[in-house]
Amino acid sequence: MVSLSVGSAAFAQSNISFVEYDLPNGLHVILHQDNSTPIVAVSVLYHVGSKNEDTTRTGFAHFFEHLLFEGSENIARGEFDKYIQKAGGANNANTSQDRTFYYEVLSSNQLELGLWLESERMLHAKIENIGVETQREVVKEEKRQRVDNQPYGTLMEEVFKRAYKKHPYRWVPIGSMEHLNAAKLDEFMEFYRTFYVPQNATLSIAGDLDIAKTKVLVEKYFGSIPKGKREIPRPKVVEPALGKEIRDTVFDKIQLPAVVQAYRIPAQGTPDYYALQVLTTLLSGGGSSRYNRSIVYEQQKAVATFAFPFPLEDPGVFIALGICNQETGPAELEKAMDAEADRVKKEPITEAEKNKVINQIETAFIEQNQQVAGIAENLANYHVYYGDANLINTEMERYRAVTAADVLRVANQYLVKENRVVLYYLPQASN
Amino acid sequence: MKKATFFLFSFAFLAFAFTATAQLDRSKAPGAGPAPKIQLGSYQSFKLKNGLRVFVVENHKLPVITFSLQVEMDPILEGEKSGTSDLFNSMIMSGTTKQTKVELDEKIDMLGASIQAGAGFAFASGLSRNKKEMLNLMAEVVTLPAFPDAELERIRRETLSGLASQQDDPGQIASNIAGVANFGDKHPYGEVTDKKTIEAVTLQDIRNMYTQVFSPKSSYLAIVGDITLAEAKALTEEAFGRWAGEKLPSRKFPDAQAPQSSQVFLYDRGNSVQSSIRLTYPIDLKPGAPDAIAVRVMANILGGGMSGRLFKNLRETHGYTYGSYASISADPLKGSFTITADVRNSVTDSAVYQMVAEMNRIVSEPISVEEVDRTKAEITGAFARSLEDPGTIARFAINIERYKLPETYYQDYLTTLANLTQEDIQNAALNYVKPFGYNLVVVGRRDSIEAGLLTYDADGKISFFDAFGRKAGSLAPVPEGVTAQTVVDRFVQVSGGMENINSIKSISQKAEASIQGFTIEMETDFKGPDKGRMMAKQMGQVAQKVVVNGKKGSTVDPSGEKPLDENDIKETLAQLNPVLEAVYANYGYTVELQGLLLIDGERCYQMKFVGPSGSVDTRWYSEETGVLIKSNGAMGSTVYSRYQPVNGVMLPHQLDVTEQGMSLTFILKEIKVNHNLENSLFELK
Repeated sequence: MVSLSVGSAAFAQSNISFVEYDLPNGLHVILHQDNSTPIVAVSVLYHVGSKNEDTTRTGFAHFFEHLLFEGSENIARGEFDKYIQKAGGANNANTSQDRTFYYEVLSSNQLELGLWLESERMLHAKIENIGVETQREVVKEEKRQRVDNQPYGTLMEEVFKRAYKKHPYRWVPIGSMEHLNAAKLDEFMEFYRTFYVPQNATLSIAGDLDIAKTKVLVEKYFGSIPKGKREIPRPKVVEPALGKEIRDTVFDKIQLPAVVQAYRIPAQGTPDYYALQVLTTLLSGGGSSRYNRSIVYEQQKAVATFAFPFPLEDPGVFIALGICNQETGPAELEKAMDAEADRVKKEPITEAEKNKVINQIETAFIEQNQQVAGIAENLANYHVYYGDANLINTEMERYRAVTAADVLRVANQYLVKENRVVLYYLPQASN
Repeated sequence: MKKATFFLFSFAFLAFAFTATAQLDRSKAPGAGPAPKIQLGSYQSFKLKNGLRVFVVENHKLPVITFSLQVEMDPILEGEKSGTSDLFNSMIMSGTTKQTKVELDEKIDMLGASIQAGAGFAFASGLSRNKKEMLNLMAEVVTLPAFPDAELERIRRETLSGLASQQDDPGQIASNIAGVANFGDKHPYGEVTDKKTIEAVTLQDIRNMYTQVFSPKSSYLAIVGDITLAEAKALTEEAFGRWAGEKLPSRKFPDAQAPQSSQVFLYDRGNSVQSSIRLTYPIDLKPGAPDAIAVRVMANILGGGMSGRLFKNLRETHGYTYGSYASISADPLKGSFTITADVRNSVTDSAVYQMVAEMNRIVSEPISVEEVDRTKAEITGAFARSLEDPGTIARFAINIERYKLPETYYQDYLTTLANLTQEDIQNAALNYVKPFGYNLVVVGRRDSIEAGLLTYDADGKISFFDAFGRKAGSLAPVPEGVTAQTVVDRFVQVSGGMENINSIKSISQKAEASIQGFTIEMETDFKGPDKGRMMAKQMGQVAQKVVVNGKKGSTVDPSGEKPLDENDIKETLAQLNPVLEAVYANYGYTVELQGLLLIDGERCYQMKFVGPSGSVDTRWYSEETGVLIKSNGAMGSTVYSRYQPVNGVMLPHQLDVTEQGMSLTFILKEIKVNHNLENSLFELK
């Protein structure tokens, strides 16, 4: 019954139509019309993240994201959220290593409100001391809640600081408490003038809209925003190869030890990256995956295992993670994980396995576009990172193009000791 | 025609030019366009002969589909076998009468689908081209589970590991304790699952549970996505047509009430950098109750999101937290009111103060029209957004049947909301917000927060709990006649008596622990009354050594040698004695009986030994057997077990030590008594 679904005629397709263009000030605009529900998602992606930070100001881009809810020349402090609430909308933002993303989902008759709010944020956000001081505490609580007080919460931080020596990926977006304490008001204005400019932004709108009318409104609110005058700095650091395996132990507030293996890999969007996606799905996607079948089910050495390539604009990492069963030590679990890595390096993936993995990836690929907010974000990401928003429809072909030989090759090229950081997470004393 | 087209075109051009060049007034927010009509999509429904009710929402936008089966059932009290449903949820996914777990996993993944089931629910989602196979697999799991014996112990181990890891998660701990605080441990929402209860569950218990949680007559199946009604009928009949069963029974439980005055429940998470706070109590609010929508408006004003009062106060004004929210859950059995926030240790009591202040304010001060209006707008928007998910319509339809709501409940929802008055909202606050009677659950670092929290406990007695929700920690008064002396005497007696203890003049012990393949050895030698040494070795290398010879002593570690002072010498010798309790007074120790405490499920006397240097060694002795169970000193805690006789004295042969970030199990490998210990062993440089 499964073989029926393999054959190009049966491929599930996404068919998301959109228009895109640039304003003279450099703002890239993407519009997707879908009138099935009377809502609209308005989003702006700024191509700035923690990798654009100064080495003595880590956490700055994310801290700054918080400040951009404080208000503007025309929006008093605390009023930003109220406008959204009054309009029955939802909004939020997030910051990664590579970008900062703001969005509102509104009733479609409030599209213009969304454009006004986002254009105010881009044109003349107002950043004052009181906001800086409050958000400084808020961001520190965010770090405590999401990182320091969470079991295994420091995992990304601990991996990245060892996997990179030069590249700004060596710190994570939440940054350090000391740097957050040191950040000053004039530094924020400097950051704003450099990165929050139209030519560094993508306005992506999806939902119940009319393309022609929306173009007029976009021009109305964003057309007069001046182009930034500075060159936008991008890190050009090329991180040298790791050279040798790095091993370390982290003590955390946990009961079950964990093993983390982080391998350095190429940037997202490269052919090897797709082969690695196929490989990780083979290792840990679903109950029948190699890790789950062998390590969790048969050997019962782990309660859970994961493998995922961390999608980053510059060369990133592939993380394999296992959480020990109560009676298993990390060394034993690591041996089992290594055995699976050895296996993918020796045996080519079978045709049946390849079909299974492609079916799993395809399902996730189709399901990611169920909401207009997701579509707006995906279109913006594909444009900014790959220069091709239409990958929202066609990226699946890149996965299908991966061959068994590709998987074997990337396994042998990247899943090697000299290319990895291994961390043992061990319980620290309570009380 | 041509002319008309041209006219329209040029008109559009002018409109564009006009808008683009007009002076834009940025100082005012743009007005909204005409409100779009919020339309509830349609659904279709049918019933199988066996009573299964099916709701179909067709949506062909994407080639995806979801099937979700929910069973209308009262919760089950699992009692001494609490956790049966956790094991059940894994067991039901571990094979059917037609195929093993391995085969099942393989098929699900081959479809690229996700299929899950558990006590009273099942769910499948994936690409619509696989709808038939997906539904058949889901039905097979639900109707033909094998509950294979061979899988049970694996699942029990996994569940126990999962349980252990609950102790890491402050949110999970808070939720365990909140359940007990609100509902009591004799209620399905409050019963405690721990190692003991998980270990008590048998395969038969799991098989018995099956008939309590699945039956077509009590089930609803929602099918949402890329499918037609005809297909849905055919597929459902094929998958579930032969399923049989009667309506599930209803159950009654003791009623839970909000406390009359405030109570504090604390879990001491020693190294926490934040306190997880839950201010909570049970309420009576059933889904679809007449005031349910007014309550939702009120709860949103108090703490619904980024515009809620709690968020504005605790985060935006005070910077105490990343977020603070209030929620009121409606439930057919018993609902609850909860305020949450995670805050840094030092502001724990200040954060509670602000929470209570906001509760008082919403009860005692008029709520402004402006605040009510924008909250209504917020809920209207959320309602409209929820309709983007076609599953919402199926959920509405099932709720109407399940909770016996008026047929037009959801069609009228926005009108009902719009018509609510100030008074309705104010009444909701008066009826559901209790600023004087709440359970305050805090998971955090006791020594930094306890004093500040005392004022929030009406009787000034904070209750302590373990991570799973069992009462612990708070010291109970000791029975009449028990004193520090009787506890010590009893332990000396059960250890073999003073005579036997005193007959041991010298003793050498070697214990070993291993961690990550390293061996750690602990060696002690004692030659009474005044010579002794302790050595810790790592992989055969001496890591630390303490030596006492008469009136002198020293400690040696890689950083060098340091002399011990008089008090350190006394304490070292006291601890080297085979039974400290027999000799403590000789070495300048004092002892105090502090009360009864639950340690790992056992009632123990807590005794505080204070050494001549002022160092504290807290020790716990079983009330039942009199034996030393655990101690906690400056260097960490030790659990004592496997007592065996040595020269007529019972000595522990296993020590579980938690110290400086490590948990180590020491096993006694060698023990010698009254042997010839050379004085040279105790020589000092």
